[in-house]
Amino acid sequence: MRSRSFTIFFLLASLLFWLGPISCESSESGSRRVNPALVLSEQEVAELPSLTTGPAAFKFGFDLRNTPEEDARQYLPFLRYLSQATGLAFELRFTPRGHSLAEELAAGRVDFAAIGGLSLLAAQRQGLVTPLAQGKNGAGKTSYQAAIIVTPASKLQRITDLRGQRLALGDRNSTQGHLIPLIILHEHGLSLADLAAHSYTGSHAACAEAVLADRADACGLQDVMARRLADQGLARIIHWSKEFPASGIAAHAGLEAAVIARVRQALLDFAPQGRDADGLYRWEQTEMAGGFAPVVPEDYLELARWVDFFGLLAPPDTTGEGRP
Amino acid sequence: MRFKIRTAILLLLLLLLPAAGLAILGGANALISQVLEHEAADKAQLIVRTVSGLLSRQVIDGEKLSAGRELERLAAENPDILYAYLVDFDGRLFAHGFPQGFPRELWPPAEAVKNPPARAGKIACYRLGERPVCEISHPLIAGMSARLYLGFDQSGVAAAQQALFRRVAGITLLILGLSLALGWLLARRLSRPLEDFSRQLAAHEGGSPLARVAIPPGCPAEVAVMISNVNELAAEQGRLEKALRERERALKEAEEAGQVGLYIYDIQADTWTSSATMDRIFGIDADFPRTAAGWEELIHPAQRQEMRNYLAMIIREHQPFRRPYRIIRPADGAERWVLGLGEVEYDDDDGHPLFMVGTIQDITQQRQLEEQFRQAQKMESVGTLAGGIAHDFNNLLTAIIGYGQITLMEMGPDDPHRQNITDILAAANRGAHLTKSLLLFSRKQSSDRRPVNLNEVIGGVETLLRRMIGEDISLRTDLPPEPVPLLADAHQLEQVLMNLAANARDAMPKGGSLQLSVGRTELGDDFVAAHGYGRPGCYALLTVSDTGQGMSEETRQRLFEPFFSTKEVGKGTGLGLAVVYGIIKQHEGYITVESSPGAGTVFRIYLPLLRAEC
Repeated sequence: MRSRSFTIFFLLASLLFWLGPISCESSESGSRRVNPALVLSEQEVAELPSLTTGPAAFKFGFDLRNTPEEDARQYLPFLRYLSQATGLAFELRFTPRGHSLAEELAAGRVDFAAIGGLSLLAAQRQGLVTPLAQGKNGAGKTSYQAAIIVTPASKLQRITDLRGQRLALGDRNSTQGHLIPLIILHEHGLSLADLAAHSYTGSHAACAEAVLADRADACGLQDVMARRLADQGLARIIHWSKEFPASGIAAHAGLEAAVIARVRQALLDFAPQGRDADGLYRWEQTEMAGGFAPVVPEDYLELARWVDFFGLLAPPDTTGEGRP
Repeated sequence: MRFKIRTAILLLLLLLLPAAGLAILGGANALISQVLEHEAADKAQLIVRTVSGLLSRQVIDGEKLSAGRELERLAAENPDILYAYLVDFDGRLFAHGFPQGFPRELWPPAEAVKNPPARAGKIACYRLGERPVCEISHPLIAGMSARLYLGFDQSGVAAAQQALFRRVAGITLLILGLSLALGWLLARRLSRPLEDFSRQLAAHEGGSPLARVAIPPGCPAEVAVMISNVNELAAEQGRLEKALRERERALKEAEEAGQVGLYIYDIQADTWTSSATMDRIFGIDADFPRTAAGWEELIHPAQRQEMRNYLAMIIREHQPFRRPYRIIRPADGAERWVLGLGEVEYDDDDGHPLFMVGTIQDITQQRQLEEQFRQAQKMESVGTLAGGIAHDFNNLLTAIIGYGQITLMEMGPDDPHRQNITDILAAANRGAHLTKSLLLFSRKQSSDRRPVNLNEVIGGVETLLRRMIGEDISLRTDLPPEPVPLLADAHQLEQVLMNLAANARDAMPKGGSLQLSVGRTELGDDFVAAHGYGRPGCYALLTVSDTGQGMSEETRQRLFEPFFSTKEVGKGTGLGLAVVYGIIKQHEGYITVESSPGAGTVFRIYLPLLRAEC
């Protein structure tokens, strides 16, 4: 009798055990309920807490070279290196359209920046900016060049052939994509006015794409990309510029000296071709492929004179006078 | 709690099957959810790939309106996307596609942002109003904070998921139900033969243990083997029980034959148990108090204190119990000799006595035989001694009488010393008569044994006997018609009859009856066993019984000793019955006496028949 009662009890318990999960299943997705009628005002939206957690990070700016995704893949491993080497946190900052990296750095909206000569000069003239290190290319040189490329089938052979042609340039603030091509034109007796058209594509990649897509007849761009395109047979280089001081890393001068010193040392210790190569993404395509060297302020004097000559940091001088 | 096998299997199935079903349903649900989530995640990834370039550029450039429009377009072009919103590189809401505004409850509260859950998944499901939604986020740029959040309408998916789940649940229930039914049948098939087996075993209780239990048809092989083994075991047990019973019976018979009773005395509880034989020896019944006091009550008062002390001593000294003692049986008041044996068991830890196990043997008969044997030995020794002395005295008396006769013949009739010599000769003749009796007792007297008829011997002295016993005592003879031939000295037999008659006469001072009867008997082993002497064969039995005052046991024990007499000094020589004893022994016969005070006396004389014809 006792055994039978226990059996019946067990049967009922088992039935409940069976039905439990089935009944629970149907309400699983309804555990949290959001009322769509309760909405935030614009003010409340602006005051919403950030979803990003973690310590405050130093902002690292750069000029777009490729797409944002590609550039992020290239710089994020480098920032990880800096974090490990300095114990500081860094986050990557894109430069919004309509803003220049020089402005961002000078205003302190970014703390550090991978910056070319032209932008560095611009930033220094707008605010307190300290160059930390100069990039070395793959061969260990602290200088770089710009190149003028055309399609392999182009009839253009020399710079002077560019007269009356369409020239694509990179970003207005780019040394290799703007300043040096202007120098090349000037050295061959040409100016932008001698061309049929010129355009600022915003980046070296966009500049090369404009030529390959036949939206321009030639493009002035950085040496590394020009050489790669030529090696791939996609483009033909019709002219190399002379050597100019390469891009480097600069800091907003308002930062603590200790922070600047730690970052500078980390940059000089950076060995992208050696012990720090693991995890880097296409770093050899940057102007800092060989790492960094101490910066020499005099190196930028010629560039500064050319900047002034072309009035790039002031209303442009199109007369050709004042040539450095 | 004990369950039947069937119940146990059913309970086990009810426990395991729901667990298995739950696991299957849970697994199926998780799998379905995982598949659907993967599908949604793949779709979200595809969408993000399509729009990430544009959206990331818009985030970089701060083009919130354009991004908002793009998100609205995204929702409009994808019916299963309810909404979309963008979070910028600082983790803040950048743009959204909600036309009426961003739902307040969709953004996690500040506290949740500061303390994110340990297991923050990419997919969060909830209800937006009444619609089930699964929100999937995807970074616009790998490794950076800007994310696109897409809310997928799960109405269709949830319905499909539930339908699929119900289908899986139904199939699972069906399978489990079938498993339960099959399990039930299996359990029944397994337990039924066992139950039949138990019933058959129960039916055999009290019956023959050797009876075999039939193997139910269709039972599993293991059960059949088990039943077969149990049958063999039962058969073996039956054989053992039979052997045990036979051994018990043999033990009981041995106990009976040896008159050995068994007992176990629990010393701590002061109680003992006893076998039936022991009860019979002690003459006690079931109500007798089986305690130390009860045991002491059985003991003869003369030995009670001695045995109490002895028991205490053997327990104290760790010695075995081995002591004969007398008891008085409550059943009939008879005094019996018993031999008590026993061993005491002690506690290994504290040395306290626990039990005494032992036997009780009735040795009354043994002691009687021993006493008879001792008596016979004594009689033999006394006879030898008396015979030797009598022989020498007889020689001396022969010389005295011889010289006395010569002296008397040489003396004149008036010789003043003649009377002295005559007195000396009379005394010497009395001495010679005594020595003759002693020689008869010690069987040193030569006998002239010839074939005689016992009837004739009795008939020859009957007159003399009547005269001797006097008129107050009647003499009856009971003689068989046929002769009773013996090889005997007729004169010595007459002497035996005379002495016994004289003894009877003295035992019946106030008159009585003396009876002489003759018969034939065959002595067997039982006679030898009872008396401790004798040789089986055919004997003439002469019974001399009187109705006299009888005698005590002590008197009876010494009856045939020379010079033992209960008469006053000078009234008898104490050699009458000794002479009887010596003559009978000389004729290779036996004499027994049965008497008790006030109950008369019966002498039985066994004499070997001349011809072995009983």
